Amino acid sequence: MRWQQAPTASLDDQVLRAGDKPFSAEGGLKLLTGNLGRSVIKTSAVALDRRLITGPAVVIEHQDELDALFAAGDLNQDCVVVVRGQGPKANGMPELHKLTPFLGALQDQGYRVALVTDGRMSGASGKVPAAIHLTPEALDGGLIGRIQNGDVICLDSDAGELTVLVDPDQMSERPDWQPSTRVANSCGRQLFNLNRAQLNCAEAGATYLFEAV
Amino acid sequence: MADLNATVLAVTQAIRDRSQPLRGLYLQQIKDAKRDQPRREQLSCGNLAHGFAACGTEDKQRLKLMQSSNIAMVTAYNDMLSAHQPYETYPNQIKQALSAIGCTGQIAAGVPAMCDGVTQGRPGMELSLMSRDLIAQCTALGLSHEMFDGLLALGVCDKIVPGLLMGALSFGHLPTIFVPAGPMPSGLPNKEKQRIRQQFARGEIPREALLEAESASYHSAGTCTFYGTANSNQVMLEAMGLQLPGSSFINPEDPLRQLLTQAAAEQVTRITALGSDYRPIGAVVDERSIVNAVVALLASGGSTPAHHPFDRHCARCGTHPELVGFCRFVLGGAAFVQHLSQWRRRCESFSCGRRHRLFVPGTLNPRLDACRCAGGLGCGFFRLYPGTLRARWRFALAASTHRVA
Repeated sequence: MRWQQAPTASLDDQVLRAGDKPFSAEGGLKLLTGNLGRSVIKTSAVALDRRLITGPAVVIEHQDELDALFAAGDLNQDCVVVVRGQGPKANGMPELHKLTPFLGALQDQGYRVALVTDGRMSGASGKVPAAIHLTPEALDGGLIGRIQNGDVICLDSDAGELTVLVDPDQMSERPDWQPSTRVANSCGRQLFNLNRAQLNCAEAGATYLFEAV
Repeated sequence: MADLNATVLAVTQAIRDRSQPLRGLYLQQIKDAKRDQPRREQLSCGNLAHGFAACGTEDKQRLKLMQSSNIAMVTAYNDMLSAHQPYETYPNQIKQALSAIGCTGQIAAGVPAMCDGVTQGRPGMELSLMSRDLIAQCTALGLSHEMFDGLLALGVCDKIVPGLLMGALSFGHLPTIFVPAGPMPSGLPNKEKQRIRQQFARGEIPREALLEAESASYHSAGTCTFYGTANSNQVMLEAMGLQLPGSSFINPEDPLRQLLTQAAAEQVTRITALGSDYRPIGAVVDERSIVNAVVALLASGGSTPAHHPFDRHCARCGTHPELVGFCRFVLGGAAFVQHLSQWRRRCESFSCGRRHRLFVPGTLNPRLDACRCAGGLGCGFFRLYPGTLRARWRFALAASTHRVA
């Protein structure tokens, strides 16, 4: 085996390009800030005309709920699906891939949709604009916990902003978020209850090994 | 350093500044831990005898003689992750490679590994993120035997790489090289797979058709074929100088794969404290290495969870995590980090063919053109010299050659 010089020019510029003609002038990840907190959006696979989405919130507490709404036709509208209670302390911040096919299908039907969550989406974030890892999570008193169905949410990835367009006074009068009473005592999760409670926030890495600095 | 991009420099400097004094303390720890003798030399005879009780005669001799290095393997092998399944045979390959050069290797720990593909949408997925921290702890358990002069880390997938890395950084005085197993050959193209999933979501096709499509997508050993977290990890590890250059995307069955594994085993023995080219991982992974990885990730459009671990890596080696978060977001928004790769969208067939092996050098090399050696330890990007047999490592800071407009 020998190391040898790699080509200096790309062999396929549909896949890999040099800096003089990039696919996009910016990297594929943006930070979003706003009254909901800080989140991340992966824009590289999101079409340019979908970088700004404004729509009414459809709030769910578990990704399984989307199935029923989709089947009942309740999602046939422009909307911003808000999936909360998916942060590190709430339930170990699982990946939420069940959402992708539904949201993708809605987008293909022509609706303008987006996702906002305190959970994770992993590599499958894809073509639907998704603000993920929202911190603070609902369980930590994040404002995502007070969003109600119909609240207008604006996700502007070019400007780097995620905002819920509700009067702050009105927001503060709403009750605190209550986590679901669903007890995670199966599938070995019960052995990690104390660890889960120790997880720091998504921004600090969602780890129980260190405190947030 | 005149040719390095100003934003990259500024962010790196900011991380460096804000990481004091933690970073200084961490480096001091590494310095204090350095020994010219093999680590096992500190152990009592009783400790040591337990340590090699089950070894073969030749290895026992070498371990007793205190002249050669003993390399730890921490393996995340199991049958659940397609990307880890090849690791079944790696420990013996590595032991043979080490033996051939007069050294020894021992499996220090087997660590758990979860396949996010298997637990997707299931209760087990709630354990995935925590598995990373547990893997770090298990890695530390393995290394705590204090028998080792270097580490070969066998892990590829989402949570395992950061877990192994955090564990290794808690033994920052040891050199560490990650040993990949390679990507699955291409199966059903991504677009086709997504199309079928959406059809199923709309109730247009039966479950059998979906299963066929999924089986055609994930069909054999190796990393899943899209540019998700596992493959993003590979790019980042190479950019950080923790994995042999160009080794990420050789398929598991390719004959080169075994040669690369041997090369990793040989290389780690060259960079222990016993020799003249000591490269402890705690020194290799500094703010420059981390910035390299973030730039590589952003320029290639890599996976989002890959951003997560950096905060923790940094905490582990005393680099201010908030600053890394800041770094990644600034770089993410900075115009100079041009999106050079449409790996996910345009490349229907990810992992077949020779040209894809060049993905990592192809992504990183344009940046190298303007780089100067920034000194420091450890392998950075690989500066390739035609026709040479020995890999030469040189540290370089990732940078675009173009100024921010």
